[in-house]
Amino acid sequence: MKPTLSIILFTVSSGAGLGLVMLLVVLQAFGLGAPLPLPARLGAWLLGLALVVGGLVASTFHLANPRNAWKAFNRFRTSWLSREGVFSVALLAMAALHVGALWLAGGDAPGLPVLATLVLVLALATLYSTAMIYASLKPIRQWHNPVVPPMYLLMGLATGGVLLSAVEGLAGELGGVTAGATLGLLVAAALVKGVYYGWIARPAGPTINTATGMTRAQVRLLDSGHSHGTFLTHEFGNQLRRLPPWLLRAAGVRARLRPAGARGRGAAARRAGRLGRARRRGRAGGHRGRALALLRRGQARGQPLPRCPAHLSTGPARRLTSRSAGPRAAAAAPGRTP
Amino acid sequence: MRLGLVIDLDNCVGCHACAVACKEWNTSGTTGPLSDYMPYGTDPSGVWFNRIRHYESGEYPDNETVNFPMSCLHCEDADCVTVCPTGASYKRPEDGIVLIDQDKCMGCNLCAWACPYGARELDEQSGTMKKCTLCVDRIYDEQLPEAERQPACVLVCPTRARFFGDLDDPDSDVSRMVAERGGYDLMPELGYKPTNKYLPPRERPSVPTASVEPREEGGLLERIRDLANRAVVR
Repeated sequence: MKPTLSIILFTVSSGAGLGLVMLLVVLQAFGLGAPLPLPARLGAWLLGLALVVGGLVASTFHLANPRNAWKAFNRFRTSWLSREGVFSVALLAMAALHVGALWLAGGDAPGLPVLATLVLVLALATLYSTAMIYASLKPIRQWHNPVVPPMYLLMGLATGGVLLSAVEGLAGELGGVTAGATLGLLVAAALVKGVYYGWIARPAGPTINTATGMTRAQVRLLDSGHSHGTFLTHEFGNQLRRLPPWLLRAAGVRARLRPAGARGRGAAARRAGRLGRARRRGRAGGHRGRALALLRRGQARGQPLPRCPAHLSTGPARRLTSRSAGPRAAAAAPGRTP
Repeated sequence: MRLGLVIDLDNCVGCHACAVACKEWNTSGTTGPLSDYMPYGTDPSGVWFNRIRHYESGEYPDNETVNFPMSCLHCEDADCVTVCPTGASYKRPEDGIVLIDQDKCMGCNLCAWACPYGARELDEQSGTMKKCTLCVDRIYDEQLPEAERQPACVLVCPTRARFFGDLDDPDSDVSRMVAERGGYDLMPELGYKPTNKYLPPRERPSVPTASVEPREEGGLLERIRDLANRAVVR
């Protein structure tokens, strides 16, 4: 997958802003936490809203045709992206009213609890919609799972809690409730993130077999049909060679990080055996082993590794000689669909 | 009516003529041009609606090469349409063709992420998403002789591996072909209900392989063969 900086900025900034706004409503407007002096409270609100607006502006930078961005509100009934846009604009309007009332009439302004409740609901809806943009994408199993929405909510609330604690600390009024809630949210977010990584470690979803319909035999991509990169390889392929080696080491990808040219002719004879080992390890080690074997192969060849769409999954490289054929016993019948 | 393609994997020889004919027709069609980036440079790339991949299925010696053309499958439950925030992506109720309104698309790429078939490509020049139109500007054109009112890829195919028709009508040629040959859906587990169907390669007896059993090491022939194999860089 191609990580887009503008979308990462949006997710982090908007999530933190929405989390901050939600905590402000629960702890300040509903009076559950220690009340902040009015300037600090206004400052926290403005910080939260600035983060949300900044995130929304950043998100438009990934559009290839931003002139039509205003049309994104058109499909509220089907599209989570559209819903996110509508909810966030409604949230900003309600929050602006709330901040205005707070500024002009102070904490006892009439109608403030109603506005605060609306802000809370809309902030929840916005964050949930953001999560559902990803969770609704069936082809990408790392996103299409029920852990993604709670993860987004908890991450937003936890980062918002850190910001609120910082504001309260700067105002010299860090309350025990805020600190406790922040700590609890951070722990909960970490726990859910752990569950998420466990969840996506299980192999699931389409394979190259179901993508081609040839389900009765091993299927390998021989040739992707084009000599250079395409939209698909740019958008979904991951250029692993751009990752620094320490990061790969940290991810458990050790050894055999040789440059493509170093794979000499003599190595070709050993390659079949090495790949065989990688494949056996893949079977033994479950999904992690398979993923590592894939990573190693991609790294060794310096090639992009498309993960999605499934029909572009790279298969093991093989020599086209009789000797690298592998055990005959394992050879299945040629691929036919039932 | 549910218009779509039926692709015979038994006949396809992987010549890419369908992709080229598609590009030629559609670059001046309703969603054209299909931009090319640096077509004569060192890293040429561009928009194609139809791409052909080549797969190997099975283990040697019981293996075979399968050429695999893929374009938009015009799914019944097309998530690319559902996720589109602007309403640029739509599925025509009258014939099931999935199209993109180039005047509405904002280029957010979400539909490309929702498509498991990799059928949508962003045109960096126009900043909009583009995809197979099933030659909607051809199949209804009454200026053309009736036999030519078919998608460009179908007309050009030299091995008659591509067929166009109404897959809703059980008596149409394509529906009968699907029923007879066991035509199947790609990635049915995702529930997109693609309209396009693929006909599997026919069963054929394996080629006898006694002559290519491993030979004893070190012979002159073996060394020459090895040398030739090393010269071939895949």
